[in-house]
Amino acid sequence: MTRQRRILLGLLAASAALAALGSFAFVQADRLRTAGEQVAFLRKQYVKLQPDPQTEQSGLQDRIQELKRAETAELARYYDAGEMDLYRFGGMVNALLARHRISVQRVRTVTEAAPPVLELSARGTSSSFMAFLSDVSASPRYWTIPYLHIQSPSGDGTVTCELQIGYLVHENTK
Amino acid sequence: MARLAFAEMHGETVSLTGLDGRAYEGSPERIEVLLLSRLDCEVRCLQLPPVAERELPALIRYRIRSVYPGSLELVLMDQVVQRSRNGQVAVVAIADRQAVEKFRRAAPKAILSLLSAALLRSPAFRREGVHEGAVVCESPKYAEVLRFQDGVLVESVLVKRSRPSSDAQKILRLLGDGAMRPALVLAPREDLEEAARRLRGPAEAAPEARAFESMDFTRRGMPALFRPRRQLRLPRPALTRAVLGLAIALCAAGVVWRQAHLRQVELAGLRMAVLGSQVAGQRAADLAAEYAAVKTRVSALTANRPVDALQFFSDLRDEMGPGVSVQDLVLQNGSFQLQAVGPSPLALMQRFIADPRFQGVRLLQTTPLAGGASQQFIITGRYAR
Repeated sequence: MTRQRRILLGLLAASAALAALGSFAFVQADRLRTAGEQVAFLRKQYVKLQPDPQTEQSGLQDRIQELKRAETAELARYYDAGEMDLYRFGGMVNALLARHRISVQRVRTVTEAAPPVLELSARGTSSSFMAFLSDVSASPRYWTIPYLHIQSPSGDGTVTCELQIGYLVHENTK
Repeated sequence: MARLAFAEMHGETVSLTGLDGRAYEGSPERIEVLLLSRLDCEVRCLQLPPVAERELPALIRYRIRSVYPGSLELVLMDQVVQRSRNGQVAVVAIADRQAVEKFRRAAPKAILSLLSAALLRSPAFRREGVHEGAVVCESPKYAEVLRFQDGVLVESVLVKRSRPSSDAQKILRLLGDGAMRPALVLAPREDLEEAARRLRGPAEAAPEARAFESMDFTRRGMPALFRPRRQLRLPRPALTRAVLGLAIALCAAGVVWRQAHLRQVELAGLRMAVLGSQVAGQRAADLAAEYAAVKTRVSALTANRPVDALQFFSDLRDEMGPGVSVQDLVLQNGSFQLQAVGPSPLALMQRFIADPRFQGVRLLQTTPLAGGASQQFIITGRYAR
């Protein structure tokens, strides 16, 4: 191979190498530019997606658990549907009143109310009524007194009371 | 007419002579054709088969080895190809490399050629020249016998001068001792008659003789031998710059590639981080939604809690303090109306208003009782659970 041919071949090879190098550099530069744009975009996204310290997940989880416990405890104080009926409830109320020596003068069922209640007219001492209300309050299930009218006309400690008393069923809360 | 000169090596120098055999006195720059001396240049005629032109150099180089005893590495070789009915004949000129360089330097603007090659291309010779027979070219130091066959030069023989008579005999012997007479004698004009006479045989007419000066050699069509090859030469600084530039370009491309690679790695990491954040964010959003739902349910349950009558009485007693006796009390779904007897209903009202457990408390009526120490009053309001 002559020197001339060698030089020509060298020039050809150098041109091809330069062209390849140029193409490579162009592709890489384009890759670099695209990657740079994506990096900038993703950085913004990342900053946006950072969780708010106030809504730290573990704290939120604890609060949810606490609320769920409270909900469970609250629901436990409601009667399930069908668990209680007004007449059985009336029996329990009567027994409680009798235990506190409160005499019942009249009982009426008000079934059109929601929830259905018993309407009572009773007579006793103020302390016995307080003890009765204390038992109602301390009941493991929710007993409700939507209406209560206490009169103490004589001032000798004897009070008459008209009240409506009922119980809460879980389905009513829905 | 082209400006011609003969060139011959004298030791290490080149001597130039005109066609008249005298020393060339003009400027070497003006010489257009420099005819090399046959003493400095071997000539071989090779009969070649009809092959393609591009294969000729290799074929000639191969064939010349069998007829030229010297080393081909030390010489330059060039050829003029003639075509005939029987094929082609290459007139191959072989000269020492260094001698050729000196000839080139002696007449820098001239093409190098040989008398035999010049004759072949001379229009006059081609028109009126020898078709069959021999041409003898005489010069002061040698004679060259050119033998033609079918109009093609087939042999070139060199006869160095010693004595004029013996030279002529040599030439005649070469021509077959009378079997072939020289058809043409070429010589400088001054020597022309003598040359023709020498080559005339006994009782024979002298061959046709022509002076070199009468030949219409033209540069156009003159075969140029030993032409310097045009070589692409990159000046070394340019080569260095090219290599340096290539290296810099490589480095730049490498840097760009590295940067792109690092960016890609960073991008991959960021993608993972963003994906993780998205998952965490989704989980946090789910938790927040769950929290809100549970809180709403608990709030609804709490709001639905029945009023605790015992708690109401306890709070009411705290507000009223000692000295107040309740005569009539109605509590209905958190709203209450209280009729009581006490010393200062206004002071009681202040306490009610300051207590957030009791809202919208209003004093409806006060009635002083006998003695003025206490009053009967009616208060309404709402008990907040």
